[in-house]
Amino acid sequence: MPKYGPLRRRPGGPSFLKLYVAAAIFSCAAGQAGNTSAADYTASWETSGRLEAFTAYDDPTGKIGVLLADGPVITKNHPFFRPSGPSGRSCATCHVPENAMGLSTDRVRAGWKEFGDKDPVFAMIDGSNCPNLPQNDESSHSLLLSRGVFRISLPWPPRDPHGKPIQPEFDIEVVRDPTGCNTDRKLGLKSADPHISVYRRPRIIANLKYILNFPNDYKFGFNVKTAFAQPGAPDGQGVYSMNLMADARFLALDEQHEGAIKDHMPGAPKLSAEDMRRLVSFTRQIYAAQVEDKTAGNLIEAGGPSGLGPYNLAKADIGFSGEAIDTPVFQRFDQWRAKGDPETASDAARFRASVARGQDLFITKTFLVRDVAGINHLGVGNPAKRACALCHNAQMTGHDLAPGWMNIGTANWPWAKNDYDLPLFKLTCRQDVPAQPYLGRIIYTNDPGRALVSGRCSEIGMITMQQFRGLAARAPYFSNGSAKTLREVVDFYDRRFQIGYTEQEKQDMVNFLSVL
Amino acid sequence: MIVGKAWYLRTGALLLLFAAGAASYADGKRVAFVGCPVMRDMEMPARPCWLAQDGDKLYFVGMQGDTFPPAAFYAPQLKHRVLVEGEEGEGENICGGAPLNHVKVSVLPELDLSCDTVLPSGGFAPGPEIRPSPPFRKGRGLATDPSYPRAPSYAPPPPPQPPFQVRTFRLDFSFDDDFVHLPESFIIIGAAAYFKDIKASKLTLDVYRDRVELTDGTILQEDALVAQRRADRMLNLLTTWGVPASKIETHLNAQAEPGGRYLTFTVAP
Repeated sequence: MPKYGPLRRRPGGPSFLKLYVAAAIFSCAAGQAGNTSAADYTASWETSGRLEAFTAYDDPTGKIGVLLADGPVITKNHPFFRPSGPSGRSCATCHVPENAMGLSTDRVRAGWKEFGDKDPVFAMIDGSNCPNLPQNDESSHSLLLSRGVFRISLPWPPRDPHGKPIQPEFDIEVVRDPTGCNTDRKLGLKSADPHISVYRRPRIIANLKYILNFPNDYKFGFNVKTAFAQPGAPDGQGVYSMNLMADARFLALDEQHEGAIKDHMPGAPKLSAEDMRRLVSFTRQIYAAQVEDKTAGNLIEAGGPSGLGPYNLAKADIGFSGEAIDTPVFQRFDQWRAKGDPETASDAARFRASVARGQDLFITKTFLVRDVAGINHLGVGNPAKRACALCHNAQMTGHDLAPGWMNIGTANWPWAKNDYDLPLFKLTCRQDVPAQPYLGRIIYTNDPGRALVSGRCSEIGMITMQQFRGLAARAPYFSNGSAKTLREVVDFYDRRFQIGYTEQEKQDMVNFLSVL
Repeated sequence: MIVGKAWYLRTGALLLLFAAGAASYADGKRVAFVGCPVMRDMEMPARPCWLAQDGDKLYFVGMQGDTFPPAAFYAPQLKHRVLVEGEEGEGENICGGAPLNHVKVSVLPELDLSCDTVLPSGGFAPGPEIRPSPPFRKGRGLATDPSYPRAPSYAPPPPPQPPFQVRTFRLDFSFDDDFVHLPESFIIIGAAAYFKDIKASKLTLDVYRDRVELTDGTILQEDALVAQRRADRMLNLLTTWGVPASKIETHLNAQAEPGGRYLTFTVAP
């Protein structure tokens, strides 16, 4: 087993040309940051044993930039990068700088091609469809290879934070079990220690100041989505945002880190207090965003849009809503708007104009947002005629400032695709509890979401939405990886909400999302 | 998402109006019916209108809100019937619906898939509120521009001064619903804050359930479990906000009574 996990070949390696381009980007970025030097730049943390303060990596549409606000780190023996336990995994196995601190299926597939099941990402505990399958068989890892999803095994019934079982408001049946894990005698729902396996994408560990903090007006701890109390931080300083994880089962960064080590790195020793402190302080100061586009060029040049790039993410304030035409979610793109004759404009200028139109659509293209539990039943009405930014409202990141639990239907009937490779559950809610507002009391889903933690019928299918940063570097999308491309994301929304985008508008939306 | 002082004032005024309850009802003919809501999809930037259908007659019940969470009017939901209560008003139809005064709309909890009508604007003028829909309103701050105006932060009221009094706080609900929206949560926070500020000995929670006579004579009663769910929710919120469970005394009023769609917190020094 390689000491730091498999070293990945980089196509062509860090050529002088790449270094030159990246250095040029960096020099502009450094102009924004003003406190780093060119020596901070390098292209490979895996070979150098060092992650620089700023690094730009190739991705399918350009380059993703990763900024460490506190400066470079030596990866050797760093708790984020150090493999731990028999699986050989580290945090960086699934939160990869090259993938905006998330994980793309391109990288997963390259790992299989080069290392097969010896790549730690394919660890049997969750990197295979089910641990009971032959691990050296590619088909046993099909969900990770095709969707980029890991198996999340959750106890049933759910437990409260003290480990006490919660009486769920619904029964759950396994209707379809293509992975075999939910009906397995040792691992499944009818086992001696009943668990439910669902399959979810890893989230990016970056830009967390936006994700972890809660708007001032809710600091007293009221969850507007559930009308129950929002858990308070143990130090009495505010409340948890509940936006960190897909189902909010862990609320604080240290809880998430500890849970990830326990669940995804089996057999790894518990972190020392000092290592946990290092890990939390490291993950809190990472910023990731696209820094270059193959067509638009440098995204973080001086005088460019203030919402792009990791330096702007590090500098900007948190807690601002962007559902307004003059204060949009990803700031203003005025300098990119079309000027002059589009026929004679350069490709870069035309692409930039398309991005600006995409931002406008995101804010002002209204449509009927309907049947979304977690938004429409909160007084806005069903439907509510609003734009993307109603839900994706947080300036700079596009998540929901309130706890972003929603059920838009990516994982359940009637809106999800027929995802025959994923398990299908039938959930039947008790008559004496509030029903799911738009699906009632019998619901078919691939992933019950938050309800697997809370046990509440009304929260079936609710998944905390993700931030929009570094999208180009970390396909596929949605928590179950059901959209392979940004175009499929846009198509899903267009179909789901009958938005009626034109072909040009769809392309504008894709271009806009790809530069974030 | 970030709300300002004006929002709180508007919300406070609304809550006072709720608290005033039936006393403010005056001359118009009382209307109470259960029917399907209907959305009239106005041309942007006007916000959509909400109507409700009582037999062949459409009533105007309100405009889609312009904040999230909404402060003034919790709009109906398609796929659910609504209980509409109010008084027939005078004047022109609004968005194609007869005006109602003192209107209250409750979204009924069970699904009704027959309620699924969205009407085109049909040339009707927008409703009485002319503020534009949120995407077209002015924002409250730009994260990357410190010179851009910031929304004022919420400031809690000053703590009470002795001698302390017994104070009662009232919280109203929609029919058959225990959900609490953000504006109403301030009432619960107020009760908890008063309890802590005066180091109170007891907080008494009196929970009621409602009985409504519709215009056609039908009697509607809130589900017997609703009062329990309202009490459970209050316990969750109050104890999280610092009121010990041992000092909360809960009285559930088993009998449904007209006007009983509320609960009270009584804080005793």
